[in-house]
Amino acid sequence: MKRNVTLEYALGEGWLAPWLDGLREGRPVASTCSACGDAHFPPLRVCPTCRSRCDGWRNLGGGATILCRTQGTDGDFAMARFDGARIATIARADRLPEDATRAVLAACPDDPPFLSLVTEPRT
Amino acid sequence: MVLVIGAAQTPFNRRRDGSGFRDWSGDAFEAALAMSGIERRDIDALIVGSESDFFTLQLNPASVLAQDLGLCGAETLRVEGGGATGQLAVHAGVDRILSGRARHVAVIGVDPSASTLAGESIRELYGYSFDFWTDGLSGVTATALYALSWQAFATANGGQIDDLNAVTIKNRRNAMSNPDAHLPREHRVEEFAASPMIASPYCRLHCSPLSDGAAALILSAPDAAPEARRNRAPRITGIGAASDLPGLGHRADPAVFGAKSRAAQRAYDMAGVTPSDIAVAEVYDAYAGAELQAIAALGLSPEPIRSLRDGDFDADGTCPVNLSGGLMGQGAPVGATGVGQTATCALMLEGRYHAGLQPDRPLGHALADTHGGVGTTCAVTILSAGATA
Ligand SMILES: [Zn+2]
Repeated sequence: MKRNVTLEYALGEGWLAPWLDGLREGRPVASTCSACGDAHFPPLRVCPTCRSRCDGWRNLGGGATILCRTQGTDGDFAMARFDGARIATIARADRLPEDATRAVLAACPDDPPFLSLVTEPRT
Repeated sequence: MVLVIGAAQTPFNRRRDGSGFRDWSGDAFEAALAMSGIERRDIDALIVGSESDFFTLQLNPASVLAQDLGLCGAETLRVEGGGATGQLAVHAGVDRILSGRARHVAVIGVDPSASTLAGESIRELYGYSFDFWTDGLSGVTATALYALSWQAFATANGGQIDDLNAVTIKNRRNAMSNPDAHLPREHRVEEFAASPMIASPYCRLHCSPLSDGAAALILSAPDAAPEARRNRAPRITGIGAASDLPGLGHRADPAVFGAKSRAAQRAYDMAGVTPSDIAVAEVYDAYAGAELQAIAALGLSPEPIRSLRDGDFDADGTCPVNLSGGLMGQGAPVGATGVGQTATCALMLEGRYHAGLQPDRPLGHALADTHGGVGTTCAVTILSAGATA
């Protein structure tokens, strides 16, 4: 017996809207905790450091350090920590050179947007 | 404590016989019920562990299974916790009995993870197992996340590719004596170099398969168990569960399954045992390296990689791990996995497991371990031998 189901979701972005807007525009927007000063990218609603409610947003602006990387038929992904962020993130790394140690967030106008890293511009 | 008076599972494999999850649930349940010595009408609650309605295309699966199994009137509940689904269903059943709300509980774990959807669709669904809004949006797969976690563990503990190969070889060799196993294989080391790289360092041979199947337990309050089972049946003496942040990067150390350690400690405390008391363990080896990370978190060895190399986890080792073949060899129908692990431990403690895998020494305590995400939703169960096993 065959059955084909096609589903189209309309997902409310809610409190994560500033983060998703940042991904669309290539801005690493972190949630911030005014109690301890930590910034979290990806954003967390409650700060894991002090368990206070995160109460603001900040564009971290800068680049990220590649911590580790995996490649294969499933794609090319990295764990990276953005400058100024307490925590690390998972991101696509298929646009980065193999030996990259630094990267920046790529603008992603797709819907939904996704985290993708590209080479850090020379300064 | 709670008695396991019935325990059974179907083969875990890719079904090509036209059967479905309702058939497998029925087969596992009837076998467990026959072992238990009680009747359908004695069952007060049915707990169903099933990970996703997308696999079964059936919301509220407990309702139709209660109908199929002749349990209408019993309390029904469906439990879901990613890869930990089955073990959490066992815990829900144990809680029903310990609270006094039920005297006999049927627990069924089932999922058609292999035959109902194309592999690509299943992979996409598993992508929603992680935080969809953060990690999930990158399109990252389970294999890639586990690979990143293993890399951190290997760096900290000196793990090598040979160690990953050794886990796969051990578990699939064990599976060769398990007639219910999906991938009974005698792998040669040379095969690993030719296996496609999925997410470095994990090649396909380091990944567990997608499987179909079901497992069932009949749990009983001690004073309600049939006379014939009361002394002999193994007991669930400890359960523990805990959670971690879903994002690997959110954790203090992506190598460490911290929630598993917390879950295990809760289970050890409840059972009144320590890791050194565990005689056999069924450990969540979704990926080869995850078995070693789990062993570390469970405290089964202070140096898991050295213990692996010394053969401590082999079938004739000091603490055999995944005698069933684990997910790697026996297979992984998600909701059935944790229930099957618990059934395996119960049958071993009672001396009723498959010939060739049943340890020839008396077993005191066994441990069953699962998690959802990459060590995010963790559930550990400890079983102890019956008085006259
Ligand atoms: Zn804080």
